[in-house]
Order: sequence, then structure tokens, then C-alpha cells
Amino acid sequence: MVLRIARKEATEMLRDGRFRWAVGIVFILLVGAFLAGWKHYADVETQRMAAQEADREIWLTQGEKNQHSAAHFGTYAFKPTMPLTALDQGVLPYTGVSVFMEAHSVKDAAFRPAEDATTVQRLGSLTAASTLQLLVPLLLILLAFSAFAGERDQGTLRQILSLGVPRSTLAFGKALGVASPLMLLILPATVLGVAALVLLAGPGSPMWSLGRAALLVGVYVVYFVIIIMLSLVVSARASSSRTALVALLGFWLLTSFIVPRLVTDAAEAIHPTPTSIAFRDSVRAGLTALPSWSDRVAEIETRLMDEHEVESPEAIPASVAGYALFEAERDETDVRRAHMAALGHRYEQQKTATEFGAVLSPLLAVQLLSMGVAGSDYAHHRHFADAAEEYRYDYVQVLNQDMIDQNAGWDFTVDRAMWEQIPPFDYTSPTAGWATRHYGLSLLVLVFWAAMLLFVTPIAIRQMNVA
Amino acid sequence: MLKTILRFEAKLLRADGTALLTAGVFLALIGYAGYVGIQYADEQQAVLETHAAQYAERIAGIRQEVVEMEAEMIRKGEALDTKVELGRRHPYMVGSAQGRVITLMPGPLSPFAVGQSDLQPNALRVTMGGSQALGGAASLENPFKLLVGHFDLAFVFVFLFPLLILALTFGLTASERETGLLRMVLAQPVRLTTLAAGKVMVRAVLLFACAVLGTGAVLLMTGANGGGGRWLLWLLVVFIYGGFWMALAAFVDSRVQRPVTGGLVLAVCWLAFVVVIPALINVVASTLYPVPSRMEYVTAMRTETSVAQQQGAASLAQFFDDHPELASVEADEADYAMLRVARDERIAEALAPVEARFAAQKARQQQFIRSLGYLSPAVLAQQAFLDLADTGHARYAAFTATVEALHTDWKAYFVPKYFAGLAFRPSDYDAVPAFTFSDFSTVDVLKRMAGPLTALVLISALLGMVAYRRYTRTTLIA
Repeated sequence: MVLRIARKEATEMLRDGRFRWAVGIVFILLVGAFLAGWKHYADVETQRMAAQEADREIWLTQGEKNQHSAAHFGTYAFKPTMPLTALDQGVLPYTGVSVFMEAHSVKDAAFRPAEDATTVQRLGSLTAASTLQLLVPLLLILLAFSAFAGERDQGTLRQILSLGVPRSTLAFGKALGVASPLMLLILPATVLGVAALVLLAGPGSPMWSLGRAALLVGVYVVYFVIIIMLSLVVSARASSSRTALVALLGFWLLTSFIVPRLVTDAAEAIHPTPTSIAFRDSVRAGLTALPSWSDRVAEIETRLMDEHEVESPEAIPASVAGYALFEAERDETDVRRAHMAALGHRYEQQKTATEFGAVLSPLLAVQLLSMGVAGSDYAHHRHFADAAEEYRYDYVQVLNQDMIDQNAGWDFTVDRAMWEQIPPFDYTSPTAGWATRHYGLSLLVLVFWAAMLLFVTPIAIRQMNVA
Repeated sequence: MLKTILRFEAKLLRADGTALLTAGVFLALIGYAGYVGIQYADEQQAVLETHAAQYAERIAGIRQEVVEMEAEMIRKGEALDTKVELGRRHPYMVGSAQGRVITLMPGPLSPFAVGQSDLQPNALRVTMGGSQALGGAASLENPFKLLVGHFDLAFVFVFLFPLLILALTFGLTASERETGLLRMVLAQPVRLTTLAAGKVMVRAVLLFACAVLGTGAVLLMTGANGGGGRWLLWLLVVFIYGGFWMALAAFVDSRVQRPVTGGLVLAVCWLAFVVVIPALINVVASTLYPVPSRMEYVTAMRTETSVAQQQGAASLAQFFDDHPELASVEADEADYAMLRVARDERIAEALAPVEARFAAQKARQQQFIRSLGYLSPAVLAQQAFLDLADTGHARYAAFTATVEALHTDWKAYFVPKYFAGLAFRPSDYDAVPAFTFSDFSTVDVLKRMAGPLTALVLISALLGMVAYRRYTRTTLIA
């Protein structure tokens, strides 16, 4: 019986020209957005690999120089992106693409692509994710709003129920009927997308995982189920199909455009981001609290004079500069990392507040989860920036240690053999599990929405007015 | 007759809760957006003022030190206009170490639209080597917030204002047609066009009054410092953009039998014009004219820096070849400042084509969007609003050009000083190239907006005319 009802609903929709048009347009947008996203991803990845390789060559061929000069000459880490970012760009346009790694500096990545984009970008960007997050739910609402309310308006609801069909069967059939024509849209798109990813990215691609793709599909399926159930509840309770439509469109509008802005405003108000000046001043204050360069050198000279039992600094048979640089780098890095970590923690708090806000809008949870799983969220960015920072500190200290080992002064120089001892920057992206754990709360909120509707839907259907 | 209809419609709207509710929601939205905008603009103003003040203080401090050093030298009987080593008295101190910090102060209407001000640098340090961005108010903004966007007045007017219009105007006459009331009304000596016009006018007056009052209050709270003209233009854009949506509502109303159908059609129009088409234009522009990733730029910069560093002497020789007006200095006599100038010039020359490629691609995108923007009134309105708030493309482009001009002047002023190696005297501090950014006048902005706004007026007029003809030909008895 369920299948029969579903078939009737689906046939009715498929016969409706407006529906065919709508699905066609959404399908074209989805595929087009994915292709554009893919092209962008492929372009950027090609450029990144070339840049990373070129930078290694520049590092190796920098010529003969002092170790510390090389630490200032520095090297770049370029942020890799995952194939799934072709679906969801997330915050990639608003985070930098490269970290300059040099002595005495802990930096976030620079060059945000959005700085080179036009103002229209701020009106919203068309990606496969935004199509799935905004347009598909709208389509679902338009399909489902009249499920009960429409039948009631026409007086057919009483007729159907008089046949003895259990209400739950009817509801299930209607839900399936709404979902199945949509499969026409989602299935080919998914197959096409996965095939493209497997063929084009290849299993050897740096950060590609089928697990992530499966997770992404799961998140969207749960979201669509939530929208279908909500539409059925509203349709069952609304006085007319017109009221049902207005209520559902209002929900869509609020949760898509208004709540996300209000929630992020609130998150920012509860956990304010420091201004750039306040941040800079607090880093400076931390650095000023450290011993000054001359004090540090004097202290090291005294220590080394004692150690080597000599009378004057000139007689020290060790690299005072090497020791001073090594220790200064260690202390400064501690201060700078602590401030960067505090800022990262602040963003993390804002993210958690936003996740709580998803109670008001399931879209927020989906948005966060989608970019998290695709690898285009801030957490992945931070993971990369942290890896670059680890690498920076290690290589700078290898150079400083070399000054100590070689008893080097400021005019001591080393050559390519030394540069080759520093391994190239090799970044391993986090696993799908890591990404998901990061959004546990969003997952929970999404499940809460689904569970709540699973609980409410049967009640609403049971109590539905027949006329 | 129109007067009677206006009076009746006003009464009807008052009696019906929706009008009051819509007006209340509209005012609340404007109030919240104004609050967000004012807070943001105040913070930005404070950060920029701090940058400017800290710079002025630092320069004054160094100058004071130089004055004291000179007083000491005079006491010792030493000559002041001699060659100097790198240090406080060397021109390098001001030319390269300190440079000039310049700030782009928010315009009078900046609380109305955050625009690009949270992405583009508003404070820069210009030195011999180029310009570097200093942190602005929003430079540490959470990237997710940047993605979601700000709840500012531009958002309220571009996104939500049309919805409020549609909520009030859908089913303009269709609901009376559906209930059969329209026949009774038209039995009176009144034409359907007059009736529709009256209905539109009452709603327009209500919403426009809210816009005037709401934004006027926000403007007053900001202190209005010279923003009156821009505010009036803002209202003009609101009027024209709102006019488009009203004309569209009338157009749809004149062709549908049932208000629900009309509502759906209008909702789809909103979705297309405000959400889908702008996003589509954006993705097409960035796919057709992709701006290369800055990674490529970084690599080019690195290669040139490395080459220039390794060939310091050759760069210097090349530099003297290019600048015969400067007295040549042997490589072993050249100080750090001179080598640096030669190196920077070489890097800049090598990077010029890369920079040009970026600029050209960005210009193509902008041009593309300017032409395709006509497909979506929302894009036109957004561009106009940002322009009025001084947070749009045009102002940042003009600012960048002025910064580049200052950089050129700065080099022209300091290069001879570096190579002469003479002391930078206290009086020289007053002679360094000044930064003057002449902001767009309200008339300039109006000129830029004239084309798009005229187009919008023409489209609305066309829709209105078609609706008018349709109304005149409507037969009530089917």
C-alpha cells in the first residue's frame, strides 16, 4: 500500500510540467556548479604543486650563506585542497593559501582568494553545496507542502481515509512519493560526482577518501529527510495548503538567510574576536616580557665562560650567536604560538556557539558538517597552518643547532649540503574521523532535529483534521 | 477617485494586521542592521585612528631624537650636512624602515554597508619596497562570519526588502478577484487600473516611509557627518529597487487568477533575481576569467628575490644603467640602503607582468559583472549601495591607484637621498610626499549609478505598462 501511494504521488509530480522544469534547472545548476568547482579545484591544485616544487628548488639553490640568513630567506608552505572541495568551497575563499615560514615569526596563511574577487561574491556563491543546502530543500517544500493540506482543501483526504488506509501508511507513502522523484535528481548527480572524483582525483590523490564522500551523502540525506518530515507535519497541521506553503517558505527563508547571520553575530558577541591592534599589542607585550637580545647574549656569555672556564667573552670556544638564536627562537615561539592558539581557541568557541545555534536552523549544522567533511572549513585550515608552524620551528632550530655544532659566528656560511638536510614540507591531511569528531555537536543537533521530527510527525498525522 | 481608493486602502491595511506587522518587522530589521553597522564602523574608525596616531607619534619621536642629536653635534662643532651611516639620521629610517602609514577612513554612510571593508586593506604602510597591509578592524574576523555575511542595511534592503514588498503586494487584486469582491468594487465608477494603482501606492508609501524613518534614524545616530546627500541617494536606490519589485508584483497580479499562484511566481522571481542569478554570475565570471591563485605570484616573487639577492652587484650595476641621473657608486662602497633599492627595483620590474596579469583578469571579471549585473536588479542595487557606503569596488580601486601614486612619489623623493647618503634633517620630515586621497563626491557616485538605475527604471516602467494594459483588458466574466 505504501508503494502504491508513493507511486501515485510520484506519477502526479512527474506529470507536472512545472516540477519537471524545476528539477531540470536544479539539476543543471548542481552539475554546472560541480564542474566549475572541479575546474577551480584542479587549477588550484596544479598551481600549488608547481609552486611547492618551485619553492623547494629556490630553497636548495639559495646559494652559500649564513644559517640564520637562510632562516630569514625562509620557505613557503602552500595549502593543499581536497577533491571534495569541488563540492563545497566552505571558507576557502576567506582563508589564506600560503604560509611564509621564517625565523621569529608565527603566521597564519596569507593571500585570501576573496581579496581578488568581486563584490558579487558577497551575495553568495554557487557551489554544489549551496545548491544542495538552499535549492533542493526549497524543491522538497514545494513538492510536499500540499501533501495533506492540498487533499484536505479538495476534500479528497476524507475520501482516502474512508478507504481504511492507516494514516501512518499514507504519510509514509507521501514521504516516499516526495523523495522518489527527487532521486531522479540526486542519484545521477551523486553517481556522476563520485565517478568524476574517482576518475579524476585518483585514489593516490593526497587527501581523498571515499569515507568522507559517504559521510557527505549521509549528512545531506538526513537533512532532506528532516525537510520532508517537517513539510508533512506542517501540511498536516495547517488550515489550508496556502498557510502550509507560507509557513514552510518562511521557515526556509529564516533558516537559510536570517538565522545564520544572527547566530554568527551572537557567537561573535559572546566570544568577541580581538581587533588586529589588540592582538598585535598583546603579542608585543608577551615578547617584551622576554629578556632583551643584549641581556640574553650577556647571560649566555656568562654561562659559557663558566662552562668553558675562560675569562673573556672573546675567548669562548662556542657559538654565542647560535645559542642566543636557538634560545630566543624557543622563547619567542612559545609566546607567539600561545597567542595564535588563543585566537584559534576563540574561533573554536565561536564555532561551538554557532553549532548550538543550529538548534534554530538545521541548515547551520549541515553547512558546518558539509565543509568540515569536504575539508574546506577553518579546522582543516588551522590543521595545515599548525603543521606549517611545526615545520618552521623544526627547520629554524636545525639551522640554529647547526650554528652551535659548527661553532659558527655571523659570517660563517654553509651551502647546499646544509639546505638538503632540511626535508621538504610534507603535509598529511587529517582523517575523516578527525573531521567528524570536530563537528560532534553539529551531528548531535542534526540528529536531534531528525529525532524530534520522527517523534512529532506521527503525532501530527494522528491528530490531523480530516476536513 | 484615486483619493477615495487611497483612503479606503489605507483603512483596510490598518484594519488588516499584516500591514502593521510588515512595517514593524521592517523597522526592527533596519534597527538591528543599523546597530550592527554602527558598531562595526565605530570599531573600524577606532582601529584606523590608532594606526594613524601611533605612526604620527613614532615619526615625531624619531624626529625629536634627530633634533637632539643635531643639537649635540652643533655643541661639538660637527657639520650637519655630511654623509651618514645607516641609523637615525639616514634617510633609510623614514624612507624604508618607517615609510608612511596611510589609512582609508570610513565614509559617512559606511555603517550602512560593510561591503568589502572587511576584506580589503584599509591601513597600509608605504615604503620604498612597496606597500604592506596593516591589520584593519576586521582582519582577524572569523572566516565563517565572512562567508555567512553581515546583517547590515545593504543585506536588509537587497535581500529582505523585496520580500516585504511581495508579502504586502501579492494578490493585489487577485485575492479580490478570487473572492468575487472585485466585481462589486468595479460596479462602482472606478477603473481596475486606478484601483491597482491606488493599492500599490498605499503600500509603497507605507514601506518607503519606514525606510526613510528607519535609515534616517540610523544616519542621525552616526552623527550624519556630511552623509545627507548620500543618504538621499540611498533612498533613491531604495525607491527605484522597491519600484521594480512593486511593478513586478503588479505585472504578475495582472496575469494570474489566484493569489497563491501569484505568490509562488513572485517567490520564484525573488529566488532567481536575489539568490540564483548573482551566484551564477559570480561563478561564471570566476570560471571564465579565473584570477590565478596567489601561489603563482608568491613563486614569481621568490624567484626574483632570490636572483636579485644573489646578484646584488649586478643588480646595482643595472640600476645605475637605468638611472644615469644618479652618481654611480662601486658595489663595495654601496651601503645596504642602496643595494636594497636596486634589488627592490629589479624585483618590481620582474613582477610587473605578473601583477599586470592579475589586474587584467580582475578588471575583466569586474567588466563582466558590470554587464551581466543587468540580469539581476539585486546585483545592481548591491553595487549602488556599496558605492554609496564607500565600501565598494570603485573606492578600493581608487585607493589602490592613489597608493601606487604615492609609492612612485616616495621613490622619486628618497632614491636620490639614499644615493647621496646625506643626513635626513628635521626639516626634511615636512617635505616627504604627502598622501592625499580625494574621495568620490556624491555627484561622482550618482554618475556611476546613473546607468544601472536608469535601466532599472526602464524595466520597471515596462513591467508597469504591460500590467496597465493587462488590467485595462481584464474581463471579469470568464
